[in-house]
Amino acid sequence: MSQPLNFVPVAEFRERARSVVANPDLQKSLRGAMDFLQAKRSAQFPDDAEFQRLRDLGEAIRQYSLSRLPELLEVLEAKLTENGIQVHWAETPEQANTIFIDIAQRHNARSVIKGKSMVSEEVELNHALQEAGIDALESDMGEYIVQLADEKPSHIIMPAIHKTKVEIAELFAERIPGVDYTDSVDELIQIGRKVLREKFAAADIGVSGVNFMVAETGTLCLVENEGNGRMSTTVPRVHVAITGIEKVVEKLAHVPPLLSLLTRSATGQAVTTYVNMISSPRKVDEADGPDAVHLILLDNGRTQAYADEQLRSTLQCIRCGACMNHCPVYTRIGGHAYGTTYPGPIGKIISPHLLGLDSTYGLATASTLCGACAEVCPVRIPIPDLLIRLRTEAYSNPATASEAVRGAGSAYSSVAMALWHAWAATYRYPALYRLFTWCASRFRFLTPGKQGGWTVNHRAMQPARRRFRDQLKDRA
Amino acid sequence: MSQTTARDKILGRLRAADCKPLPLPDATDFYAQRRHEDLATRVERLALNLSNAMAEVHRTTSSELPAALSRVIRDKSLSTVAVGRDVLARQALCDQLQNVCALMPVTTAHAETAALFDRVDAGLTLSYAAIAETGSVVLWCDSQSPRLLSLVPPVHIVLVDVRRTFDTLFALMHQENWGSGLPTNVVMVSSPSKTADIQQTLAYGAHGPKQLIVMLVEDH
Repeated sequence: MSQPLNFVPVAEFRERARSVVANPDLQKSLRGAMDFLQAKRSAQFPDDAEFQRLRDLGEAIRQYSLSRLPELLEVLEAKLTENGIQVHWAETPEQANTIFIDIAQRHNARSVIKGKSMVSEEVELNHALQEAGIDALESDMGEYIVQLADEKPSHIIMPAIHKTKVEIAELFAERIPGVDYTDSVDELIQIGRKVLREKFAAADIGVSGVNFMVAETGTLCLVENEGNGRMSTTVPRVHVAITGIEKVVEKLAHVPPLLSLLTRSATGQAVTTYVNMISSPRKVDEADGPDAVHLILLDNGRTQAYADEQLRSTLQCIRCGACMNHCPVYTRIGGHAYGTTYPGPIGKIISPHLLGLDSTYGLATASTLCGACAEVCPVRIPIPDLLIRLRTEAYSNPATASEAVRGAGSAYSSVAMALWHAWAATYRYPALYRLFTWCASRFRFLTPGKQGGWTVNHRAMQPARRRFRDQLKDRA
Repeated sequence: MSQTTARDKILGRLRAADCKPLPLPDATDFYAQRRHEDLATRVERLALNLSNAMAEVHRTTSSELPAALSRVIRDKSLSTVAVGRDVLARQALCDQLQNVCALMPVTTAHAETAALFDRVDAGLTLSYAAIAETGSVVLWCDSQSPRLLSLVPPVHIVLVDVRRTFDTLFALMHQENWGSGLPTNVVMVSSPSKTADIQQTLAYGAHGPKQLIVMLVEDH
């Protein structure tokens, strides 16, 4: 098992990105996958006016839910408790894992089967369980594939999107005992099905994430296509759900619009195969379902984003992944280059709250601010504005930096700041500007021939022989 | 580590943000602006959406249902079919089905789980309602209707009373007042189990049923 990846040195982010860009096979499969997902999404929104009205509603529901977040969490907790679901709160990944291991030990659990959960990735649950001597097996096909390969998901919806079927065929033949090489997708899926079915029947605990939590009814909504989510939440005697505190809505009637935005934006489906709404453990006269259901609510930096009015919109996210599917940077570098649990545009704006800006500021600058993410976001998160805000926080003077984001000021350089001040002054004072341009054209021969990234594939820039204002004078 | 502390700290930080509550959004307006269809059109849409999603749709009437269902079970050689209390309560239907297959009751807690994995060929369930817009069958899982019947066996057969076909999930929730409380589990099913996790190639029978057979029961 690989080591936790939750620290992202900026220099390594660049190296990782470079190696992906230099790999033509990976470029082709990423481009193909993104084109596929973009086309499927776009086919789901033929009527733009309807889409805009639905987005208005989705945005309003998420903003409303956040505006009443503390009350809604209390109502949710009371309702879930009344329904027999046990609620736990964790400020940090360590606390979440401790709570989980405690639950596992109380039930003498040896093995855990997992439905897809990005929050369990965020807290590195598998790693913590392994250290506690508990087997954790991923059951979503994509997650199963990346777990077999000792990797992490490279996309929040399609975890193995970076792998070709031939790579998966080789992986199965190498890592699953008794399996011969086949690159038939149907056969590969049936192999996965067979292996995992045995595990569902034997697992002591099933783990899942949550897409929406409904306060008024005390309901956990899960969306999926494969059925592994339903298996994980129904077959084992204990079900533990883990999610972020921001996923709550007040009314059940708030679910249909968000559900429609989620499935259409994520995979271009009008609805997923299964929409699973869980409101209680097995009742006494029921034949199946877990005897105990637990919910772990995770903070891990979300309250930091919440505290700032602008950054709060980060928490509107319903995790559809459309922003990464449409991001020109994600499409070139793939999900692993980021090194964070959540890649792509949403990862750039949420990771600083989870991990601190000191280790993640390089992500906010790895963007052209083209705005494609904001254009497709089903709940209208202003991602480019948030990227600019995070850059400002990262590059501000630590002595005077705001306390909105942990690690603010960590990218500050006094030399860079002095240069920016000089630049600003040059443009503010006409005399200084004239002097600067006069010097620039006079000493143009001093311009360096190598100008960083620019001269990799461009000719070096040089000031003009004569200034624009001098040329204008000649024409007068 | 004290649980109360983590909870109170999180809620305390959220309260400290002093966020002004926004007005409650009402989804009714959005759904009211959309076209409402009559029952016959809704049923056609339901059947079309289900077929497009690779579900096998059979249209029948309540008097013909036992024969139609027996035919499906025989044609697919389903020798053991698991049922819950809701189907068992339909004595006449069960009597007829027992001529073509063995019905396995799933009524005792956890008792049949292993059998469902190992030797049951199909699960037969009723449905609570259906949704035309997305081509979905809604299962209301409680003491009458177990959850695993529609999930573990390789074939899921579901009976749908088409008079219970709604325009949208929103209309269903709203008209049936779901906000006042839900059973242990509600599931919307819209196709056989599927995945596109390997190179975006669609494959059926990922973890759940490989076949979804929907019997639309229409009485005119």
